[in-house]
Amino acid sequence: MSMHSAYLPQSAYLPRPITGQSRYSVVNLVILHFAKPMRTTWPPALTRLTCISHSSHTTLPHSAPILAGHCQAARRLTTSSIRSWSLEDLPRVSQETNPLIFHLTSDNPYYNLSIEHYLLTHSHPDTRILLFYTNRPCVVIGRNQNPWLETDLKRLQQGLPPEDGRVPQTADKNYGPIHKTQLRKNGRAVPIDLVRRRSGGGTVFHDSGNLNYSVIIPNSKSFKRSTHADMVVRALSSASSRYQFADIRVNDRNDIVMRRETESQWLKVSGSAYKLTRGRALHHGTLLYSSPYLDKISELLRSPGRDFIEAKGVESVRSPVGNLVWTPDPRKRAEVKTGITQSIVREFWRMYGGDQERRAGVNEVTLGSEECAEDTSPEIASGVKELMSNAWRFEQTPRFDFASGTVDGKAVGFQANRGVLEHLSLKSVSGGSVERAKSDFKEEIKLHDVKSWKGLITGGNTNTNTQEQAGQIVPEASALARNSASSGGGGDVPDALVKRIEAVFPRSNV
Amino acid sequence: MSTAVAGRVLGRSVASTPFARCSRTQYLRLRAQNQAFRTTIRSFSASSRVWQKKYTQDHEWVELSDDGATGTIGISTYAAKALGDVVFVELPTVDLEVNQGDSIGAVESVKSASDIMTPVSGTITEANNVLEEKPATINKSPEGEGWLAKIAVSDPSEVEKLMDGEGYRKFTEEADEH
Repeated sequence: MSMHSAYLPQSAYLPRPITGQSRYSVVNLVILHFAKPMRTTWPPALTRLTCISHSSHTTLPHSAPILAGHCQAARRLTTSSIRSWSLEDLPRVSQETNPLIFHLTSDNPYYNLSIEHYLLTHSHPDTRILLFYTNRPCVVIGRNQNPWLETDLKRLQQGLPPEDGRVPQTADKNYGPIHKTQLRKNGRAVPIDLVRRRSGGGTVFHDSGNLNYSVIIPNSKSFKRSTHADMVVRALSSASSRYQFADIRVNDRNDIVMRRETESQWLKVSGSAYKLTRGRALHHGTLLYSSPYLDKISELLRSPGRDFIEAKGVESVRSPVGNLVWTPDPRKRAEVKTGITQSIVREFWRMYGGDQERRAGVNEVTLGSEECAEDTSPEIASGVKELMSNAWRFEQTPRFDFASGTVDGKAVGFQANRGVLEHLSLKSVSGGSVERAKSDFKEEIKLHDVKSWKGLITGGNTNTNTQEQAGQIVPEASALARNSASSGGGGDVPDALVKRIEAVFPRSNV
Repeated sequence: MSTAVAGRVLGRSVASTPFARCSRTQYLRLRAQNQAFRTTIRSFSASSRVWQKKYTQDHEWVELSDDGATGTIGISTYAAKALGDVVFVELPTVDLEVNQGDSIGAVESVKSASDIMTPVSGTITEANNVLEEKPATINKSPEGEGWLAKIAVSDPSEVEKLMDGEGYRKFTEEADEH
């Protein structure tokens, strides 16, 4: 059996729970060796499988809340913990086994969305699937949204302070004692991914305190968007004494909102998005159970371009958000997540499970990042690649117009389609203007990759690496000649104006 | 009746020429001059099948041109109603080669993003750019002005196997009973 040295996910290097561990891992290793091999990446698989049989509440390291959560989730299931089938067999398995539950252990949003999409498109038409995943910090925009309008890309590039020990400060005052935010002096910024999902809807922020749930069901006439939001509300209501809310319900936008005991304001704790394809329906939603970055959501989802951009596509609807229950202790947060997950699983099973028993490895399965490896599942791997690409994230943006407004006597306007500049104009209050169309540029100008806006607007070709292509820098003389006659109609653009544009359209650093 | 139908077919063939947006007088002149008009009358009397819409189980329709080479694709009234108000349409790019059942775009409504699968294999020749400005056209006229794309059909026999209007109506009624 060859050890495949692929792509070990970040979480594979997290310290594993220690007590009582090694005994189980040997047993599992032995069984796996003789069982039908499903994948060639062993170490992460072992991490996941041994996790399932972990049976004691040991002291878990702060940095492994996801693993801990899933350990405890699986603990209550029946004995056999080894998955008896691989994702390649999903079409057959989903025909025979229905419903199915998946717990994803990776925190990589691109992996999780790709696995979800694979489950949507390869499961049997009659199957009902429930899956859970939690992502590392990321902003997730809808299929037809505009990243420059929905989020502050420059702010995204700055990242977030490290999570551990961090207490968010928000207007939501009643969730417990608030301590001053303490940043670790030696902590590095936590990066924030920008993700475009395949379902519609608006923009949300994910982090470790946000649980994502997905339901995949047949797209029949009886499919209603509120059905599974109601299911989650029932699951949460059954444990409302444990959580700090008095009231919880689904509103008319199919968001889940809750109200605390002493307050009148309804806060959004969950939003949903939907995708319909080939007789299948996907409903996935967020659930802010205990987000350490709750207070950052507002600024991350506020774009400096919102006054200057007019876009086709879908706009988000802003709502005040709140945590279901905030606790600064990551261990307690992990327990909360497990509790919520279990409640939802029970409610889902009550709706669709009939008399069947939930059996770990058979109809309740854990999937890790190894599912996304090229040789395990080339389809999922290529889905991941697509989601990570700039072409998907930026160039799937519908047509939009940008108008800078007048700054120091000049104004810049442009129109872009699919993330590419179609038309650019520089107008002067004194009456001159330079207009350039797509054909006037040497190459396609991709908005996410403009190295120098000043250079672009003034007409020099500085979109290329000066070292590599020094010989090709040619001022756009023909364009300048085409402008309407006036003084200052050409080249010069004020720095303040350039700054305004750069704040909205920074160069993507990926 | 026959002139109306023939006129519609002529309209489509005219639309594929540079005169797509001509005035009424120009249109009348073209109609008088255009050879296609005369051939159209003849082929109409030969068979009336070509103007019928055919439907898929995913609620898309395809309507072949008179020469059977180009198909117009859209979603059915049933689907448009189920979707709710359309806010955005992802259209396929021209020259995209597709097989029957491949996704050629999607419609996002207030309710969800729904994939559109092509009823037939071929190459996309045109996308209905009106939908970029006015996505609600799909709700107003899903089987008329709200067409999504035109496709150069590679295998016309695929169309034969789809449901006709009556068959589709029965199909949706059965689906509603679920």
